[in-house]
Amino acid sequence: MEAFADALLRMFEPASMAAIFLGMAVGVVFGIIPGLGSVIAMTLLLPFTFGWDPILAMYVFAGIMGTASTGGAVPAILLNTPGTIANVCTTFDGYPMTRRGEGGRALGLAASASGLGTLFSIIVLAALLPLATVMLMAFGPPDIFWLVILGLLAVTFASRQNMAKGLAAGGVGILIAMIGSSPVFAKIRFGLGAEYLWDGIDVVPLAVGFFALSELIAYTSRGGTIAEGEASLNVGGIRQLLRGAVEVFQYKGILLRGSLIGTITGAIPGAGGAVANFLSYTSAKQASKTPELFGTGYAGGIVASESANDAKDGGILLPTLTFGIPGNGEMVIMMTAFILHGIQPGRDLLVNRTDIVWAIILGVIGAQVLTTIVLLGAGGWLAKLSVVPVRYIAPLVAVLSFIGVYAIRSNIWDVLLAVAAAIGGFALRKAGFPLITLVIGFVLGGEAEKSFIQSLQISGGDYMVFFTRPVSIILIIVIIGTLGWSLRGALRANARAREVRA
Amino acid sequence: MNLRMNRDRVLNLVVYAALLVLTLSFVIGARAYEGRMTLVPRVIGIPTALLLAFIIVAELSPRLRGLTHGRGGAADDEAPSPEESAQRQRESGAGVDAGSWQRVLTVYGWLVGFFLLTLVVGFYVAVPIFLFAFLVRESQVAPVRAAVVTVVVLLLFLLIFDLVLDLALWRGLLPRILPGYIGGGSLPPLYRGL
Repeated sequence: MEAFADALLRMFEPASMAAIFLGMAVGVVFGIIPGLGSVIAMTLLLPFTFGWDPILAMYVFAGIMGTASTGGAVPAILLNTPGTIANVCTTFDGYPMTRRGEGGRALGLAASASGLGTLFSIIVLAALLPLATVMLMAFGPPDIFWLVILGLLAVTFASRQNMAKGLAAGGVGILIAMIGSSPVFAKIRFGLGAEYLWDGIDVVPLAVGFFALSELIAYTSRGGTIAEGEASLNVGGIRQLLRGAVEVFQYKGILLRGSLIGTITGAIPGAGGAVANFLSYTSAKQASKTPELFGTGYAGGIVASESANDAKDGGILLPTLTFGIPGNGEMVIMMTAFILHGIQPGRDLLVNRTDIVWAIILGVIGAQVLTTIVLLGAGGWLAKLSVVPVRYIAPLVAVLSFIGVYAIRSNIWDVLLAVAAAIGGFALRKAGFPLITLVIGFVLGGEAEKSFIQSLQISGGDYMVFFTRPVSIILIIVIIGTLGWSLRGALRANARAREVRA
Repeated sequence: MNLRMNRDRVLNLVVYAALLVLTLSFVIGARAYEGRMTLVPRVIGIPTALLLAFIIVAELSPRLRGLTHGRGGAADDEAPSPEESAQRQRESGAGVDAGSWQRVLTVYGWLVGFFLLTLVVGFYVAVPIFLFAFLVRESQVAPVRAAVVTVVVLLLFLLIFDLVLDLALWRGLLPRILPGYIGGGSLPPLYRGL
């Protein structure tokens, strides 16, 4: 409680408020512009936070991750173009409301449902963290090794990518992490005699190349504006916005179900906001006495969609903070930020750096409150950002990426690495490899090796150490189950593909 | 259509093969080290290489292709809605058609060009040149408007990175022209002796 009180006091310091405001502003803008989203926003800001007080950096990242999907509701409602993939279901009822002249009401509903969903999930997270800290005590090095493998599997499995390619990408990521000096052996491996590789490949140029520059290549080569059409500025005035904001309480059941689905789905690595969004919308429709209203501009549809996609924030933080297993792109960048600021997720973070944990939790809540106010006040105006042509955005993203990558180590070759990662990342995505599993493999590779070697040291070289601990056995059963389920899915998909060809 | 599919498959195979070569180089390269230093590269590398070999075989075999092109996950039974598919396509960069490959290479050429320019003349000169050139040539913005955007961005750039964040940015390989800003940069070594 003392740590919470300290963190709360600290949050109201001018520097903290400025950091949360920065995160919120960047998150909303990148959420509103379709195709950008929180991962690119966090990736671009990541290098510039190097050297900052880690707590301020966490406020910025928490601000971005907490607000991007709320911002994405604006073009979803006013332009029928979801700002992020987690806002797709918001278009089903939001846009029909806008066409009826109720865009303001829809924005009010979305802002309010997002805020309440986030609050719900963050409370659940805060309640579960002490439990997770106790649970962590049961984890030894062999369990951590299996957990890393399970994390990679789960991300691949739940992110709807091809399992074989996802696992191969994860494996390649772990192998790339082996380059350079190893903290386990204090020797350099796979350095090819290059001085540049002595410290290994830095995660920042890799992340910027994969997530920001390769995305730039993808959307610049398409051209045009991402959202088509004219942004509606007429959202019906503040009364309509406030009406929507208050009306959310008429849909308590949908709100609670959506928040719960979002929190649980968020905690599953790889699932994230998009899955939560669909699950919540579908279940609200199935449970409704008037399912025919969904998709026609029904307020409950917006509540279901927006409460779930924002409630994922609390859930998704749980595996990252507790086990250091990032479940989605946002969390990969958050993990990278941890590495950059010398923070070790897991026991050390939960026991010794509670100030960081509370900064993230309060940062998400603070940014969400600010976003709700901003959307209620200026949602219609902000929607104009959705139609900013890509041709203006692309060179700015390139400039920010280059400067950011250089700023970390003042090494111009890091920029070259980011440029190489950009085309590599684009080619991998085109070939169907999920970049996220590669980067998660890269981020967790060091931890995987450390726990593997530590396990063997503990057991005196006996490999049975990986198969005898109760936690390891549970994790192995889950891994086998996940693989079996995935294989079944792949075989069925193959059979269907053959049927179609026949 | 067939031509395009063939080209896509060839490109896929090139990517798979490149990953396989990379993975095998780790597995084989690990032999140069002793004891436990070789363990994880092999424990991870061998299954990864087998998976990649399987992906290549599956790509070439009509009977197995579905195994590496289907999603092969929990959600296989749940077809995404058209909206979701469209959004996913937008976000993944997939759906770049054959004609667009030229655009992809053009955009990548701009990135490489920006890097080379930065390497030689440094950020303070390269950023305005790249911005103006990209906006005029690639984005087809009118030169006057592009100049205005460039000047505004340059002023913000100087304000944020130079005055507020006080970043020491790369000055370029040119001989020192404007101390601290243009020229006089020394390259960090890539290889011993280079």
